[in-house]
Amino acid sequence: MSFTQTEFFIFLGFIYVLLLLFKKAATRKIILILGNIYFYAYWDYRFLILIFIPTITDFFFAAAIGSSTNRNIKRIALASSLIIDLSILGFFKYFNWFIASFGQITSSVGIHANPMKIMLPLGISFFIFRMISYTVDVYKEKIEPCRSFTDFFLYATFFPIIVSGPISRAQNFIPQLKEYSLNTKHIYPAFRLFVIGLFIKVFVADNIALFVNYYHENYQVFNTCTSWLAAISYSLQIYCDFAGYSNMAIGISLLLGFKIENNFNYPYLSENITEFWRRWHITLSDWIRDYIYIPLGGNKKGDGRATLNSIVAMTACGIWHGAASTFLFWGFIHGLMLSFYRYFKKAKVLLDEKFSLPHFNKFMRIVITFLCVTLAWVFFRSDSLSNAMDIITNLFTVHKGIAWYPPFIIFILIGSICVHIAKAMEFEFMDLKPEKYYSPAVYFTMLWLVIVYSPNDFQPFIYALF
Amino acid sequence: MTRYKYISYIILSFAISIIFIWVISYYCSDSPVNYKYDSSLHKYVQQSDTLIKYRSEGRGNSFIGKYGVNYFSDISKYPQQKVCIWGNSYVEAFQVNDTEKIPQVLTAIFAEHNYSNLIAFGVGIAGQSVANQYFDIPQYEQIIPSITAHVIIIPSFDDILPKARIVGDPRAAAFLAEPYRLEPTHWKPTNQDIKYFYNQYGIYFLQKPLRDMSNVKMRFSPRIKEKPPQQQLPVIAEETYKDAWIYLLTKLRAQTSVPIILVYCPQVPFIKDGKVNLKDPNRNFIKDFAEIAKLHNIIFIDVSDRFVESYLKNNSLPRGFSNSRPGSGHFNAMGHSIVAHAIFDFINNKPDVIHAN
Repeated sequence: MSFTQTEFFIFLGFIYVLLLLFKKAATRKIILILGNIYFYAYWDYRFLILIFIPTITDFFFAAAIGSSTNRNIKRIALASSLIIDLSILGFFKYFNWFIASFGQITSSVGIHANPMKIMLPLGISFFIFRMISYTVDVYKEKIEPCRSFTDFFLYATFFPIIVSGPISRAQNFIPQLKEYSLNTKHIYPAFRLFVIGLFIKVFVADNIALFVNYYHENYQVFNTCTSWLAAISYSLQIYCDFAGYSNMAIGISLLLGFKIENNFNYPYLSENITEFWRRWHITLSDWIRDYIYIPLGGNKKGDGRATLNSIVAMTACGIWHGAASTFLFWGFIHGLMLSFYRYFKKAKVLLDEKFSLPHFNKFMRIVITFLCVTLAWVFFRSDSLSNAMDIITNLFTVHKGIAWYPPFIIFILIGSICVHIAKAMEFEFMDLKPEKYYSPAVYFTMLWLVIVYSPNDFQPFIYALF
Repeated sequence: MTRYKYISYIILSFAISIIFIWVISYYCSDSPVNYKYDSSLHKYVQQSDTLIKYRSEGRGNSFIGKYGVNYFSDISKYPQQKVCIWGNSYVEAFQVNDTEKIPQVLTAIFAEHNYSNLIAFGVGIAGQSVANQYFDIPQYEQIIPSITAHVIIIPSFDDILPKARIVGDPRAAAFLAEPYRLEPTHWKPTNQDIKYFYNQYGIYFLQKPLRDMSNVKMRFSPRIKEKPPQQQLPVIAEETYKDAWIYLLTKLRAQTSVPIILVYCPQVPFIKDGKVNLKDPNRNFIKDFAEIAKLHNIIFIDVSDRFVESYLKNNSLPRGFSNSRPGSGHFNAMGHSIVAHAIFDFINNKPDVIHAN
């Protein structure tokens, strides 16, 4: 069930009315759990077992870790939990890729490996990462193991965030269950978040998708300017698609009484690639930092090791998005860019505030960072590495072809630039705070634009595929 | 804020948003097309004296006159000899402005080349086909005097194939097989009152939500996710094409004594799999069709080569707009111009065929 489906609004309304009717926290938790199960089963009920198994095993392994004083038992429990979680993720997400890659190598010696028919369960990457963070945090004694299975089950399967995040940590979510209550004052801010998310997902991202998808199917026939327009448009599309989803998820969670971590903070205003990862998919980059980069040694073991750690962590981040060489390479590029940035920062060869035009320098840093990220997105979006290289070649050589500049795309790009400039200049209007007199009119207008100008073809959320 | 003030404030905000979307959609949305029954033609045509705005593909304003004829308020009152351009949405051509449509471009070329006694007008309703023109030609000849030629635009190979069963648009008359026969449409447009209301007040923004609401199919039961089966379209055996065309063109020729010109405008060049394809996949069949047309004293013009030449020269495609996919969909202004020039070149080379002077 997608957040933009009519059925979802009916389902959400039904759940909310039930929560209002039943005042007891325990009953409300049961209602939410049943809602979670229905939400996931709606897509395909066979895969419920896949979220039940890690939920049950991780609950008990975490309890074992928390209750035991024996270091070895803790380690065995953690290892068992990780093996189960990663086996599920590995099998459903990477097994076929591994088999196909292996088959390419072995086919020359006559060994043919055939991929299996495996369907990728909805939101499995997000779910498994949350499960891993929980057991690891318990192991590291950052949090106490959850004593109530109902609470843990509710956290693990919470429907607003199960498909595409944010990857909410147990340390943020589970404490909220101890004094769970519903506040009708949250309806308006939740509505605000949902409408803004819906607007940037459906009105902006879905309309851009029509252009970008066709471009990528036929990129060879378009000229260089169209290629640049498509590359920049995709940067905007993926941001609006995912940030829109995250906003909606956070808004729905708030309506149901939960505060979820923010996932985006104007990433295209970043002045360098490190800052970009502090603003883009914040819950994932925090996860990668806490559970991969720092355990590898972070930047505490010298420059060479820090470079290696960055590349390994970001490559893992790329692979997390999907079993394809394009994602792997995208992550690798980001790892390289982070390492280069660290080197440049140390060598002090970056545009410095001491120069006479600080605003211009800041602007140039933002533009350069955006272009680097945009070029990396080409690999992320392309069907293969060779396609991506062809597009990169089109971008940097004069490629004659068909010119295609959809007016809507131009309008959206100009609008986005204006929004980002206004945000950089700290115009209050951009936040559309609920208490401002103009905000409701803007929210209603956004809703109208979604209703009237949504594309006829439903565009699935990009991150729901990961 | 009191409860009363709060509710008033929300209502005011909602009202402001309605005014905003009203204005935006007035300029950026398609206006609905109203149809009215024309007793002299015995069929529904676009309502006269209306302006159709089209924004979702291309950007055009089209004035509709009497008898569903575009651009002219009453074509029957014009004394000149007339070339009637027939077709479906490609002749209706809401995507471009009136002056860019095939008939008006052709009229302008006639004027440029001193064919002062010759004008062209278009009759087209989206979804219709050659079978509709078979029924319509005698009706229009009775009402509109001095029709000197009928030009039928064929934008797709499918438009001249018999259907194994009646599929698709209810506006289309049917060319059926087994046995071959032509059946008129009894299409009656629906929701005309509400569309009239939208047009009257420019409330275009309500069209989509109401249409979407009526099309909503909800599912609440959990399921097993599976790939939907691909729909198989009925296939007509290739060897039966010739018989079908002989039947169609014999019937069509018998409907009128004035020249009939069929203008085949295939979807070339078209973009597929990252290539601009210049060859019409139905070219061989069309050669047979052209021969049969010639045998039935029907003139056949194939515009494929002109489309391809234009693409190779200008790097732009005759179909598609900046706000739609290039190379697909309806003719853009260039496409209309190419077709109009192709018709003119034929007439100019053989003016005696339509007694043009």
